Amino acid sequence: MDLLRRNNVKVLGRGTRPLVFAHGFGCDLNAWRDVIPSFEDDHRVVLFDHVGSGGSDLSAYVSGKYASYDGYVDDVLEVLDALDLTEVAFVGHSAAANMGLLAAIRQPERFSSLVLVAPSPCFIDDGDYRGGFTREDIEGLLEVLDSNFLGWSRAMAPTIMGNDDRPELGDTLSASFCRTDPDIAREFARVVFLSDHRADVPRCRTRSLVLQTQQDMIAPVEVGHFMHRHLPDSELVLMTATGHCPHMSAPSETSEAIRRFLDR
Amino acid sequence: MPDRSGIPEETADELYDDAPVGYLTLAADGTILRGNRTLAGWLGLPDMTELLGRKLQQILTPGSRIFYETHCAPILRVEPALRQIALDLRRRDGSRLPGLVEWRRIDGPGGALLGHRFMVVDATDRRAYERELLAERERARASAEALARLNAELEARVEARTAELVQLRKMESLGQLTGGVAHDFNNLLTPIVACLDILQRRAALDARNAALVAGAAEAAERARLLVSRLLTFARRQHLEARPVDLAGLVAGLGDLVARAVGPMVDLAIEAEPGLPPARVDPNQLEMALLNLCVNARDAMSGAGPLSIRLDAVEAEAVPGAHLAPGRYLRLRVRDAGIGMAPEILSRAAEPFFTTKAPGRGTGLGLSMAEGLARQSGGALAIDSAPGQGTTVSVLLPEAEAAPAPLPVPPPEPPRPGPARTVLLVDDDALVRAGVADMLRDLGHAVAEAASGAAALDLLDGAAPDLLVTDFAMPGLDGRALVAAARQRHPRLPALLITGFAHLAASELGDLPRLAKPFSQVQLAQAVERAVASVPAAADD
Ligand SMILES: Nc1ncnc2c1ncn2[C@@H]1O[C@H](COP(=O)(O)OP(=O)(O)OP(=O)(O)O)[C@@H](O)[C@H]1O
Repeated sequence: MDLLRRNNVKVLGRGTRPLVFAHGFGCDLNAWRDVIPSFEDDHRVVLFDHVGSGGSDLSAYVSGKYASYDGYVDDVLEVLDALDLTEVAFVGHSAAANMGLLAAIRQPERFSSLVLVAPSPCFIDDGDYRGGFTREDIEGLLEVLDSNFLGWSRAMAPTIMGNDDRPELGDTLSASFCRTDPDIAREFARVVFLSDHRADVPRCRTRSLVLQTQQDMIAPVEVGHFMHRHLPDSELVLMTATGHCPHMSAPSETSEAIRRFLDR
Repeated sequence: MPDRSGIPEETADELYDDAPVGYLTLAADGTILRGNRTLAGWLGLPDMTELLGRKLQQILTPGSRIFYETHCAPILRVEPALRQIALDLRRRDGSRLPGLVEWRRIDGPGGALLGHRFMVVDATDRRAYERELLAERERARASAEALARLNAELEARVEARTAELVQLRKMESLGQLTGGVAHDFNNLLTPIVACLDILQRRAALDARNAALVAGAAEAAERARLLVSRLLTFARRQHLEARPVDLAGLVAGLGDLVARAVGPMVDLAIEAEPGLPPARVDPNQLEMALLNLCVNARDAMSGAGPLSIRLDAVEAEAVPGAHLAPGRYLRLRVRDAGIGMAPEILSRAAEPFFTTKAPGRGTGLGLSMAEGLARQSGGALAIDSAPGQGTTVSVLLPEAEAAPAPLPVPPPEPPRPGPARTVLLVDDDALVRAGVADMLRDLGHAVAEAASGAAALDLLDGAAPDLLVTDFAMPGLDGRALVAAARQRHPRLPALLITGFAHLAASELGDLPRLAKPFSQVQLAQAVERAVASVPAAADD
């Protein structure tokens, strides 16, 4: 199987230092659009979609394999291997932050550093730990996913995004949104929001940067502190950006933070 | 400006605040800058003031908040609009308001994102329908799956049935062929057996010729047995089915089996006590069991455990056997031999199918056992796998009546009966000559006829003591001939000679009959039986 096709891998940039960007739940590689230009001059920039998202090969989605992060981590390592990348700087947003963490535990020699954007090892409140959500909340999310991807809205897909006047938008976030397979979305949501990888955090020895925004309604600031406390070799940057997607809402602050970390 | 009715025109504020949709104006990060009364009302608030400065995410349910952050916020950063998104708002009292939401981007100078106009309609009804629709679709999917499963099962069943039917047809035509061939052989054997019989009794043979004749007689006897096995397979054997105590039969067979399989085979016989009798021909069953035991021995290269077990089961307990409902006696012959691969297993009961070396097996053992079981209203089942040994089960219907004790074999030397005049009718000259010789040898005077018509001509004269006729003849058959003869001589005793022993009693009437081939002793006994069974006098 063609891994690069399976994961819709794109390689850009004029440099040699490998810098890999991995998107989170609900997005695709287009999410990095405004961040990558500042790295193209001196990096080999690798972008890809997780199987089941964006421009990946949906037929490669096998429910059993992707019922936990393991299947996604396998893919990440396979892609890095196929491109023969070592000394990788891996930037992962949200769900992909966990993938980077787990991949670096499995093959520490392959990674030079991790940038974890709005990470959370566990979204469910548990005793003193504040993940931000309860299991019922996640059930609510699954219902909303169904309403949007199975229900009426689905039938309206072409008009949903309001870009019916821009048919050339073939490879965009909204195109991904329209393509979303409801079953895959559900299963991915379960993986992301119901798994608990807190115990894995201290096992990652790779040098890491935690990027935490203000008022992230998905991964609260306590979680950013938790990550920083438990990652053996980590820095925490509290950004002025708000929301869960600083790479989109504040691309220059994000890329500057990454660059400062990588260049050190 | 008011029109003539005096009602003032709607103000823009009025249109905004009282529209049937909720309006919000949002900063780029989702901060609520402005909103209308309709939305405040839906959320259970007197007006919007409480919400100003808070974020859109804060009036969403947690699940919708995640969806907004992961799926909507990224798109809103880059797209001019987002429409028809299902999101749930959270009312002040914590309850949920299902909404249908749209955003329209507001650009600042230079195209920078300033914020969004946000519009929401109450989608309570729509969402309820949608839930029903989804549930309905789920149900439809489940029934479609169930249907597909059912179809697959049906197809498999039809396939199995078709295969069975093909096999059945094959056996049927093989049976017809075999039956026909066996019948012809019987006809040929009859004079051979008869001639040898006479030679042995009458001719003064020197030792060497006597040995030759004895050899020929033995070969003829083996041929007769072979033919009878063929007929069993063809289900044309005349079965003397009657209630039989199988436990007794099996116990009585023990010695014979032990001798047949040899000392290295460890034979165990077990019978459940108190079983009802089965309805079967005991001699045929003994032969079949013996055959199964010999197969078992061969499968174990002459050494190993062999068991014969007897119990009773209901028809449903043996689903593959297609038995009529009811209770069946089950005889299981189990060996620990090499077993059979599926392709052998599927053909094992076919006549002439054998894996044994040429001359070592006829391939009739299992087919004969199956023929017997089937003809008796039962079935044969084989359970075998390579290396797992083989169990052959013979299922026989339970008999209603109590079993008769096994018959004592008739004494061998015929008591010479009184000499009689016999009219012998057979269209086959060879057979006729042989039988005539045997009758004459028994001391009877024999007149011969080659057809029913010729016989009737002779019967126009004086009546013989006995009419002996072949059953199957062109023109007038044996039974019709007897009927016609009895119009002339009502009390004329008659004996039917039959090749097709399967013919039902109804076809033969209750006439005494003798199955081909037969020995002189059997002929002598049949003649006496026939004469003794003369129908009661009707008019003299
Ligand atoms: N107990 C058994 N174990 C393994 N294979 C068997 C057994 N019984 C029968 N078979 C297989 O089925 C074939 C057909 O058996 P069947 O009894 O009809 O004829 P046969 O044994 O070959 O010949 P014959 O009956 O003349 O001895 C055998 O050749 C053998 O391959």
